Amino acid sequence: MKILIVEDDAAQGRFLQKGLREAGHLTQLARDGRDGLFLATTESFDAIVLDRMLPRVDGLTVLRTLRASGKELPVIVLSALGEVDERIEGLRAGGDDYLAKPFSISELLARLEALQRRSASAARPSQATTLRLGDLEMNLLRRTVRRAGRDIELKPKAFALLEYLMRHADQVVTRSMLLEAVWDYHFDPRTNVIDVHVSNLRAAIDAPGLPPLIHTVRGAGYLLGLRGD
Amino acid sequence: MRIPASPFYRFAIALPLAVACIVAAVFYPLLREAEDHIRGEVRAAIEQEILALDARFHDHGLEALRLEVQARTRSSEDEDGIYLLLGRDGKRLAGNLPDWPEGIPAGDENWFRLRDRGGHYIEGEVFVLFGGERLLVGRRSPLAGFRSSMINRMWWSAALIILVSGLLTWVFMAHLHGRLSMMAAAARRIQEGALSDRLQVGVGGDELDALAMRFNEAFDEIARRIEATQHLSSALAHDMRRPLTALHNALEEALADTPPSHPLHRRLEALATQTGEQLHTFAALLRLARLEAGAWQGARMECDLAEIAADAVELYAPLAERQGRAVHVDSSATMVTADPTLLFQLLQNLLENALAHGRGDIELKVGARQGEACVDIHDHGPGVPEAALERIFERFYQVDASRSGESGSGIGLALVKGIAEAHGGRARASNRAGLAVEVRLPLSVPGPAAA
Repeated sequence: MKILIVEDDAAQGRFLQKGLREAGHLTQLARDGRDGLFLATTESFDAIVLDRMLPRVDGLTVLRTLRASGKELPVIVLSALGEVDERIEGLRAGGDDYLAKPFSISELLARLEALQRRSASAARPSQATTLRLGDLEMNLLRRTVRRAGRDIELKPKAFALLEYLMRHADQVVTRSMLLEAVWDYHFDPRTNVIDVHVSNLRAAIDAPGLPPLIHTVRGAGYLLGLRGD
Repeated sequence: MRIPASPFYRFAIALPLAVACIVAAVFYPLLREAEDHIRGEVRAAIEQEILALDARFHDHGLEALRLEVQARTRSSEDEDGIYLLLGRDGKRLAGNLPDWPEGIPAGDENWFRLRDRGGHYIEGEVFVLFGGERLLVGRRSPLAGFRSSMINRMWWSAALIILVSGLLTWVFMAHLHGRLSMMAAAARRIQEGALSDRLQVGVGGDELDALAMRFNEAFDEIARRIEATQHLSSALAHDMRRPLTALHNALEEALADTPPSHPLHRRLEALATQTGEQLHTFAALLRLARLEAGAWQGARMECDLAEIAADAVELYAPLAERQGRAVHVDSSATMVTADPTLLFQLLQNLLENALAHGRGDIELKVGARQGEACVDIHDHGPGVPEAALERIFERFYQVDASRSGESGSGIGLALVKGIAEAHGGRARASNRAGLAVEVRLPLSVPGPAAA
């Protein structure tokens, strides 16, 4: 992906560039809102990572101007303030996702990838009623899950958790992405509460003797996929 | 009688009374003076009449006087005149009185006053003639009529004065009261968080307008300070979390690059957990500062506390199960007007606190009692010393300093209280079935959904 980073803080900018490059993306850095807006409208990018607080032209103004001029590329808004009202404001201004500092590079990468897939799948809308991964099968209409020909009983939240993982199969999904998608509240749990839910789900899906489908990605989150390990 | 506390009512009562008193104080002496004047006139007329009659008697004798008195009695011109002429033996010679009125001394030049059967005052004088005959001359005094009509008029005018000044006071006070109520309502809106609202200042520029302007200046100053706090918290978040984040990120990266078998791995992991904790505390602290500054502008909506509690419990129940504990929920639909995200955070912090410090099962009750929305949680743990009950809602307060490591940042319950208070509620703690934390929130007013 070719990603535009608009960030006024030099250290943070370097950190973002380094992290995204190591993950195989091309990056370009703009130091203020005006430069960012200029680059975004004159060159073609796959995504923008946009800081909210910027000198000269504020981040949300950049975003509104971009959307008003018909640019539809995915934008992740970064902010030092993760409060809900700021978040809603950011999403209203046309942001696709909102990430509060501090965040880890893996969190940003996972969200960027999710956004890219989303915009790719939006191009070819599918009305699939069944999600499949290897021998795991989820029927969205009947709300049933089968693995290796055996029915699996799941509580509603566990079902929603698995559905999100299956929709993002072979993709790293972070704990906060899961929280936001399944619980619909924006908050910051102190404990490893998500881990417990995922491990309960794992116990249900990955029965002994079957190849594990839910993998833990250290320092990042989880991944649902067929893997050799 | 109890005097109403409102100065408006006191004024509305006192002013007409004061006006009435002043009017009475001015008019009563005038009335007395007028009475004296009338009496003087009457007496002067009587004296003149007696002089004339005396002269008649002197010049023409008793018979002429008798005829004169008779003539005067009959004359229709003067109906107010009273006459009685008695002979030396006390026999009536002439006059329009049948006999000598009782209680009137027979002495010479004696003034008297009496009331006749018609209720009229009669002013008169007794005159003893040279021969020993007695002459009584009196006049019906207009004084009584004057007095009763004056008193009548004074009562009426007093009533009118009280009525008119009462009415005026009431109109004026109602206006004043209305303006003050509007000011109070505006101040209340501002207190409730409409920080940009101001009191209305009229064009008149009177004292109330000056007061409103003074208050508005104070509100401007408060708003400026809140803004400064917001700005400071944003600046803190922006400036201080950044280096900590960089450190945290560097530690995470280093951790990712170090195989678990490496001796540094565990130390790096511990360090990353610590910086993560610090960042978490920092975020919570900022959130609390913003709540306390009234700067929270999240969406308030009708939401069911029981539903939010069910979501929170669903999230935390597996964690409790891991510890071999259960969360028992007893809830009924409880509608509040609130920010659902904040309420979720409130419940999240209550549950995390109970998980961290309680023993055994956790009891959570959600419902409406005594006109309030209630959230009660019992952790069945050891509780806290009575002296600490008040303080556990303070940020960074640790019940037992030696446990500070395991009990987290010490900001969870402070956040619970901050969220409750931001919604016009409160939080308190007691030792019942472990530590009991009780949160009270105002119920949303039933009726058509407000915007």
